Amino acid sequence: MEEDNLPELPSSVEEYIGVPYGGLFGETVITHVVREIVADPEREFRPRYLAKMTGKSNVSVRDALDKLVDQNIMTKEYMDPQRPVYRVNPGSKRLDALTFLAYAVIDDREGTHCMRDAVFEYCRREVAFRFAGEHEREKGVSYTGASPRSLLRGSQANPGRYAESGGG
Amino acid sequence: MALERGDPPPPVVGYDLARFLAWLKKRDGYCDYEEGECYCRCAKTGIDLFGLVKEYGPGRIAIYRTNRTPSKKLVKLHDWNWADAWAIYYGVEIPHHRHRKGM
Repeated sequence: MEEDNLPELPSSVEEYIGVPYGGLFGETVITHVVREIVADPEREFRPRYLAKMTGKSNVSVRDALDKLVDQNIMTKEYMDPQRPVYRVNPGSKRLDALTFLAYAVIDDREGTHCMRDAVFEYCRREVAFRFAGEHEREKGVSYTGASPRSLLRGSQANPGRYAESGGG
Repeated sequence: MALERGDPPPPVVGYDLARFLAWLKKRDGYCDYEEGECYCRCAKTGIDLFGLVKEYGPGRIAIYRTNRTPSKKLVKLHDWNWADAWAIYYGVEIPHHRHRKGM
């Protein structure tokens, strides 16, 4: 695929691009911010990055982030007083639910089963987490956060060209 | 690498690309080319989007230009099953309690 010779985007696709969650919650700044944090919950977010990704102003993004902190969906840390860092609260069930919603939007549009697979994986992980918790409480060790599949298998795929880091 | 029975479908994907595919999926399966580049740069993945399409084929992930004026480049995921399977394999499908990456 050459950069000068790109295919045109089908018009059916153009209808839904640019609006988070298929337009279900409108096009507010906080909806755009929520979409970004749901898409990459492992990241530390700074307002400048989110402003660039959402096309919104730094101030409005910061306001949206502060609302999410108030809602206990995110946490805010001041390692540098001028540049606060925001992280998702990994215990937030609303974050989990919003992730499922993101997949549901795709499923309704494309007829795929992304949400079903994610819910299945979520249930497997919860079961593994509980099992590991009970097992490790007996042994006095802590949970490492490995996925159920890797817990069962104990190995990882050989990283290809695009995966040199080996995991987060 | 030889895939085992029960492994996700080929071609093999590493952790960083699986995380990128999960990111793309949770954004409705598409992103502006600039957003994709910004994500890859900030996450320090070293992913080159055109190289990605070349390596994995436009049937899985493709870059389009929009009909709007001014025209933009857009990255679109096509193979949902493939992306799903590898995202689940690496545990990046749903939020996780493990540590988070900085920027």
